[in-house]
Amino acid sequence: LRNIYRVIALGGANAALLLPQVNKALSITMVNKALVEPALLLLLGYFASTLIPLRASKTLAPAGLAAGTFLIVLWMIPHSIDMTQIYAEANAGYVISLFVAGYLLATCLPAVPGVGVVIYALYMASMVVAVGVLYVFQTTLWCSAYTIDDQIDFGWSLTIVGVIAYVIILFSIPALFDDRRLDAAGHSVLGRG
Amino acid sequence: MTTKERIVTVVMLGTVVILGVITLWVWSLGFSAFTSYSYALEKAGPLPRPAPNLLLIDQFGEEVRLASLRGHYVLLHVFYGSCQTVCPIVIAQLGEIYSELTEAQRSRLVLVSVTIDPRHDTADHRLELWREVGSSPGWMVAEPARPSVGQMARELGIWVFARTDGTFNHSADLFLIDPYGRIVRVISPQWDTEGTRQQLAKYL
Repeated sequence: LRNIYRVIALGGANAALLLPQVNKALSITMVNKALVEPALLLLLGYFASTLIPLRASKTLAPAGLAAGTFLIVLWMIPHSIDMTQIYAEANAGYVISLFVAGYLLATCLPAVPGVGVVIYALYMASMVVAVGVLYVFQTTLWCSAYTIDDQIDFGWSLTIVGVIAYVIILFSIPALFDDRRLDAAGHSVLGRG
Repeated sequence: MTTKERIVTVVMLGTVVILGVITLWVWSLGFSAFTSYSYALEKAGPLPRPAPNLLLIDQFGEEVRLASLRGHYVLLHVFYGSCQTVCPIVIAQLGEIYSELTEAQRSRLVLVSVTIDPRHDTADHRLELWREVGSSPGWMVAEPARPSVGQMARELGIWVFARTDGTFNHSADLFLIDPYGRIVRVISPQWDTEGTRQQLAKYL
């Protein structure tokens, strides 16, 4: 019963993000729209994966990971962000697909070997930093719904978040390998001898 | 992992990657448009292309068809009067370039500044702006009579976004229309007066 309440709460949170008033509040700054809201949606997707768990097989995990990553990339394109500010349908697509991306990543990452997880996480963190730096030093406005100052703030925020994520991932590597009982090649040693 | 599982992994991953690339290709008009500005420009079609047959109202309140300016090069851009950012810079840049043209070059060129905020940029306001930029007979400060601002923007390839605070975000491109009524060049000023001047000089 508790799980049903949680599922309802999760659905409610997603539905709330589709409300024009909530979207307006989350769209005030570029940091809110392109960093805080995606992070929130990815987290909601992660929570959904704990409530409605699917066990991704090793066979399907890479495809699921690629699909989740692709959905995130699609909504990071400046034109896509502009569309969410104009069309309610585009905003609905944004909310739903980032939620699905969160679910896919949370479901598929555990099925990927530890080495793969580390490479993926470091690569994503590096990309976040690179995109952030690009925004900071970009003198042309890319998202027409926002101002150039907004864009620079967004760039700094991305850079800071990316650097923090990078450091956290680096410090998590020993724990990750320990938890998964992986050898140097990234193969599971669980059940051996 | 068995061979069969490996094949399934590769096929599934390949399918997702191919679908993703196709979606990105379509969404970005062939990986060429990632911002709304470039998207609007690409969507309008490749160059050279016919300029839309706009019906404009000039600073004196008289109707002028863009097609009636054939025989001249036309340099067209959009602006709005209360703009505090890009519009004053582009207009100042155009004023500087125009003042440095020779008489012969000026006789071949018509500058057309079209407002995207006709509600506020009335004929009086436009006349005032025209006087500010030198009252040149070769510079028209107009509003679109037909089609609407939105349709004009789509046909030209300009992105216009009306913000809730009453300001507009729009492309700052300059559209060079040749004497045959074709858009032959889109110049992005990017604060580079010399670059704009050089590009214009190639045609005049």
